[in-house]
Amino acid sequence: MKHVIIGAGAAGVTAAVTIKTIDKDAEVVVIGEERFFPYKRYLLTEFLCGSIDEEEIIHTPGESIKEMGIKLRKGQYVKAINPLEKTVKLFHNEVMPYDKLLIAVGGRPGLGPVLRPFQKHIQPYYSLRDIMVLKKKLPDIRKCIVFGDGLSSLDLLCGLCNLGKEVTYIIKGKRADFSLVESEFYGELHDFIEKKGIEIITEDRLISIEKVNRHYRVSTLKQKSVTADIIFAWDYYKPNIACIKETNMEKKLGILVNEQLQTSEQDIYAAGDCVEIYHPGIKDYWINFGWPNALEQGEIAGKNMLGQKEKYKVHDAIVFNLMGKSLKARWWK
Amino acid sequence: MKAQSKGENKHESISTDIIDRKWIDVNIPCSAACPIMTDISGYIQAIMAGDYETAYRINRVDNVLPGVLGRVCNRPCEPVCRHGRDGLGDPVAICFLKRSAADFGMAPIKADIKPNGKTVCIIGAGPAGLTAANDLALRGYRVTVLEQFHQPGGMLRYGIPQFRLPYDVVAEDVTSITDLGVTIKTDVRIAADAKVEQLKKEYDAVILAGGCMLPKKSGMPGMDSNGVYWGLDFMMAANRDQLNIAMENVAVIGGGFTAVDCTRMALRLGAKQVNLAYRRTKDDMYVSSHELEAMEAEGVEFSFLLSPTGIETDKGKTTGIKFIRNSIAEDRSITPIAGSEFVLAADTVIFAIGQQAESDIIETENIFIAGDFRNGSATVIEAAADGRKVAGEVHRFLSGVNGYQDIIHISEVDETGRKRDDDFIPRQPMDETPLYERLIKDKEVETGFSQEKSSLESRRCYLCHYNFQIDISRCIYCLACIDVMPVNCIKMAKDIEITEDGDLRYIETTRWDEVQAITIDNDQCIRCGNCVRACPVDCISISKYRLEVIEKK
Repeated sequence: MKHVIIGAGAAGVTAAVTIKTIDKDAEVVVIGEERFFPYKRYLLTEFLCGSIDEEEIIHTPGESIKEMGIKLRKGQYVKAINPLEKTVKLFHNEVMPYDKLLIAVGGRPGLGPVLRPFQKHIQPYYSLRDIMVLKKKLPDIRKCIVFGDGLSSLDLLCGLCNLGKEVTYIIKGKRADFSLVESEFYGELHDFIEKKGIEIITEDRLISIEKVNRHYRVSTLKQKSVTADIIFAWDYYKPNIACIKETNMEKKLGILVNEQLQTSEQDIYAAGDCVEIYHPGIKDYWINFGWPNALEQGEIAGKNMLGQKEKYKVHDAIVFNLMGKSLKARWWK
Repeated sequence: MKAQSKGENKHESISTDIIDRKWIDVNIPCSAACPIMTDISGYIQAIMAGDYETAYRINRVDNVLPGVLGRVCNRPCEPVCRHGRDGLGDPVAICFLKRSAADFGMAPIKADIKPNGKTVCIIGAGPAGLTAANDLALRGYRVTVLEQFHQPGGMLRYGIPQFRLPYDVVAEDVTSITDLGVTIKTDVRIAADAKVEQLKKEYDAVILAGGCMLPKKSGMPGMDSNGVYWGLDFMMAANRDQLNIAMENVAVIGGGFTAVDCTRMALRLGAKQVNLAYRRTKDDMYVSSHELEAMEAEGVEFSFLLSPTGIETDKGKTTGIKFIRNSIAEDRSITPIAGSEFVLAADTVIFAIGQQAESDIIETENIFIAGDFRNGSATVIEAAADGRKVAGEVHRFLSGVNGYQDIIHISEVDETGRKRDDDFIPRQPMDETPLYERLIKDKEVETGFSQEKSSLESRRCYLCHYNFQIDISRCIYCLACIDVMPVNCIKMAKDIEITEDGDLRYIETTRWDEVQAITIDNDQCIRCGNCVRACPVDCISISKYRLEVIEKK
């Protein structure tokens, strides 16, 4: 039985390990786009701030992957899936057959149509590589602009603040709540970051970025102009599912799956930040972003790919938990 | 033609061969995808030559509303453009170029019209009616168009907001039709079948092109409460400045053009929060991606897989809308998820779930039906194409022509004027009104290409209407053409098959001893002409293909 797993993040690697633990003889191939061994994404800001080193951020080191007999293909990505022939096509046109396929490609922050033309002026802040590049730039940076909701912004804001940078935070809403509507911190965060010395511009949007000498000048919808050395911006964080483009797989924002994490195509499963599942509690399709969920779904998907019928239990807590443990980040609570 | 100065015609012939007709469908994908078969590469080449007037004239032959369609066409041509194929970049901005031809080259149509003494009445001055009027007027008919509203244009004037299509643009395109001698009588409403009967006697033929002006209604509870609107009624009232309502939180239901226009109009009328809800997913929406992007950029929120089930009210006033979530299957059918109902707060709810025709008159004797009135609500270009088709039927009915046939003008040229470097020009973005000025209600959002931009963009076109052929009887297999080919466009074949449909199919080979022919793959060819210049025996020819529809004698 050949198990192919697209994505070497938390969900993908957990599924691979689960499969190998239960069935030693199974053939498991994990295809990961990044050139690193699986790492803990939620620790990236701590790595940026220097409070942990590169080794601590690795989740599954190369030796243990080798020991388990998992084939990890780094730096490769799947560009198309053919559910009829049960094959995936890699970027270099290699065609790989599978018996069971798991899509665990995760999510990715993205830019809407307004900011997309300015992408080259925006510092990406998502992968280990982004952070390594950013680390090199840090000494030359004094002023930063951050635009975007969600917990990853909070994480970044605190990180930049701790590094002694001057930060301007631009948000669409009246108050900075980082989408934590249902959490115990709701309402306090705005004052908290303001007290830290972050300038907050509310009810406004970034609409253009211009490079002036070595700085960037941004304009907002309300025609404010702010200058900075670096710009961080995103409009959304959403599943990164370009690989299913040519299939008829049911999807909304993410791939729709049932409780056993099966997609609408036979023998294809999906887990982690790239799936959407109907949640009767909130009466909505739901992407349970985050590290703990990815581990849980990865394990269930792995078992079910081996023929078990374990069900994923949708959780009661509906806090948007983008970065897993980041709520316990040591610098502010 | 002046525009083709680069590729001056040496010799022109006319073909009626099915293979040549088929060549156009296969090799000029943009024209083939256009419901009205516009000569797209023809007018783009004229823009390349800087001759906007010719570009306008070429376009105006097929597409009688160039200013309008240069703005609001749903662009079936662009997704099939060869420049947009995998690894080749983005499709040519065909629609923007069409607009620039009208912006810079609009001129009165010079036509030698010989009146034939017959009269045609067209009901409805929308895209179908106007196109039919144009075609019949050019053939010598005396055409009268009756329009129920105060201004001609139908949906173009009253359904589409000015920030997408300004009134003067519609008026200019209409003028180019009335200049041909067409009379448009406005404020004339033909509501009863009896009136149609009367017109039938007064005119030699009557075309009903009344469009789809009746909103499809939904009978869910609360529809009569204050704050609920039908999409088209909302748009028409807003366009006539007759909508004076305060709205803060707006929900728009639907997945088509009207729904999108309603969301953007609501923002301009002062709404703080606008939500668009559609029962299927984004991919299933019947709108082009650039419109979705404009809507997203302006700040409209989307929700998908939602069906409305009722309006929430308080003392007759709308306070929200109740939805149920859907699951969707591979065949795009939706099933509501039991127990998933929830309420979205809204003080204004707009239903834009489609329109239908007002009557179900059928075609008899000298009565013809055209456009949305016959086919149900569709796009502007589809309505125009149908107007043309029906005008052809009317002409056939009244003049006794035997039908129509396609002929292909094939003219030999020396060079195309294209360079390999042109492939690396990126698609030129449309200039737009800045976001902070978008709330000015009637200000046009897309402001049009400058001449510099349109000239740059036109150079990106592969000019697919050029057919490159190698005369095998003269080829000496020297490979000079293969040495200079910029992409994998020249192939060696060991055999040529003729398929049942009359297509030629080359069986490729890489083995020298098997080569029986060398052929140019027009699907890969970028029309740069390197091969022609390199060929020592002059066995590669370039010919330009142009389609024309003529009457069968």
